[in-house]
Amino acid sequence: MANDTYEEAIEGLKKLLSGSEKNELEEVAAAKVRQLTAELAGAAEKPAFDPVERIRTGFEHFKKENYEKNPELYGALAKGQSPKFLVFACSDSRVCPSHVLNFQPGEAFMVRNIASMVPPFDQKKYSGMGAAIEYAVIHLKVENILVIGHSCCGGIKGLMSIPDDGTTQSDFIEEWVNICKVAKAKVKTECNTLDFTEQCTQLEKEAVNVSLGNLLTYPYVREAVVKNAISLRGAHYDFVKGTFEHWNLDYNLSPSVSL
Amino acid sequence: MYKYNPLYERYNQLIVNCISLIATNVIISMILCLMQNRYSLRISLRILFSLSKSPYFLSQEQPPLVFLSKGVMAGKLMKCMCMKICCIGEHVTQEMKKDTYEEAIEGLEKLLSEKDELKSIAAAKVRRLTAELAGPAEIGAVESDPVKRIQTGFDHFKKEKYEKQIALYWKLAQGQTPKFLVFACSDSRVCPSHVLNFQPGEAFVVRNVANMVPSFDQNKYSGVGAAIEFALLELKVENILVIGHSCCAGIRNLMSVPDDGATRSDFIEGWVSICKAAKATVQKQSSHLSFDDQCTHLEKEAVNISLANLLSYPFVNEAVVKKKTLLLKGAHYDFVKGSFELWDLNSKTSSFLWK
Repeated sequence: MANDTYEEAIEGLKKLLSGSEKNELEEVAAAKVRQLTAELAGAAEKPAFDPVERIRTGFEHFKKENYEKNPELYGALAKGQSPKFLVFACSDSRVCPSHVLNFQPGEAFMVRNIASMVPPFDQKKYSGMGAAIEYAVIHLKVENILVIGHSCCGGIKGLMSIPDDGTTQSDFIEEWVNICKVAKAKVKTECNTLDFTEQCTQLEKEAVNVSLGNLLTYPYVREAVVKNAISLRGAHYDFVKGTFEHWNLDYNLSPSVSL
Repeated sequence: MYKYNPLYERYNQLIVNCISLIATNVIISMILCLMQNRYSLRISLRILFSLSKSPYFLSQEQPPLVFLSKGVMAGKLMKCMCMKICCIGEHVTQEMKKDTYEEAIEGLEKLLSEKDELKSIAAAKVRRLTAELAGPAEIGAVESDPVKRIQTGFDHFKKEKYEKQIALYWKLAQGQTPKFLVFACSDSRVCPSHVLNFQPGEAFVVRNVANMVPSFDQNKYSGVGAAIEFALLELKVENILVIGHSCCAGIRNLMSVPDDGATRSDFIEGWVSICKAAKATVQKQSSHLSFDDQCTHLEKEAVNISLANLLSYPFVNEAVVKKKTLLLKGAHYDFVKGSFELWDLNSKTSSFLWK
């Protein structure tokens, strides 16, 4: 059937060309056919994805629809940033806070890593996270730190799957997600009636609480929380259900008193 | 019968004070007039000096001023004078500025009257200029209450994106297959979802201070390592893109670390020193440039260090060199100029520059 239609099409083309008195039409047809062939060959080889083209169209869209339409915003941003939020979100391609919370340029200083984890204060092992917290709290003076977990998190699933004897199979992943292993222990004891997927969902939220606790190991965060200059917030974005859960963790912090 | 009332005393003092203040002002204004119109500063000051000896000036007979020593009063007057002189100076320069500004606007208007089509561009440029002159403002502060801000943000997303593209989100619920692993800075102004219009599912994103990729190190850099490992081995991304940007504070910090390596921060300097090899390159090649220009150069050179560091991860190296299933690209986003530069690993020159 497909062959027939093709033959018919070719015949139609030939008929046109033989009927035409001008040779030049044939030349045009030849060029077009060669182009078509090349296109077909390319399409058969691989799906047409050109990363450079994707980056170009992406930036052009941004420049035209966003940058050039908001000269006031970008003029002010050229002078400096004063975000109100420091956000920890997962590297997962489906959970960018600029989409989920509609953050505009200038609104949120953002850290994205596997499973949106905040490790405790450790200058040797976790200088990357420490640098972001130090800069955001001391230099930018953010007023809120928001840690967002999410549904179907590969990192959390990895943590939940680490065998009890602690043997690891990866170079980095298991070592990294172990930051929240306390949460895993909690989920295992408290939710042992749930199935694996439900336990993972529970762990996605408990891990956020461990991260919020770890934030307090940074002296400047702790100090700002005591002074009420910073609020620590946890959240869980579920892209299967389309929900966003948000909570404050209750702290009972008071300035230290010497006795 | 007269009764002593301390209030009267104070009232009297107040009246006399006012009168003397007015008198002083009159004198100063006279001197200023003289100075402005006829005399040089030196002569005027001499006049002031001679006046200060006159009976009208700081007269010892004036009861309310008794408590003020002559020196203090003279000092105050001098200060007042100086301020007025400064005011005159400022006034003059402001006049000059106004002239130049008016001339500039006239020039612009002349151009626009000739070329009408430039008007909309000019409008945008002028608005931007105004914002720049106004300085950093409260940005995006539509909602100052953080909880409400989070709520309105999610409501907007749910209504305008999630519910309108339900098929996309249904597909994403099954899994992600991003083509890109992107390293971008934590800076609030450079989110790749904005700058490259990445939609959910398109890019696995790591954001840290100064978008740095450290070399393979299981003890020191498990965070970045885990992201690369997951993106390569689980998601099989085909491109890794490291994006530097203009006005990067992390890079500025690296450029400012003293040569003896003394640090003043808990983490920042330690972290950004990942790209200290780039700093050495910049100091060697761009020593003739200003500090700001050196920083811009370093923003780009640091990206090249990160690209080189990526090759220290065996799974990256294999995919790039042996299998040829992975491309490494560097980029620099300049939000002051509104430009985006893109280049390949191992090519010093930018392959693309979009303005």
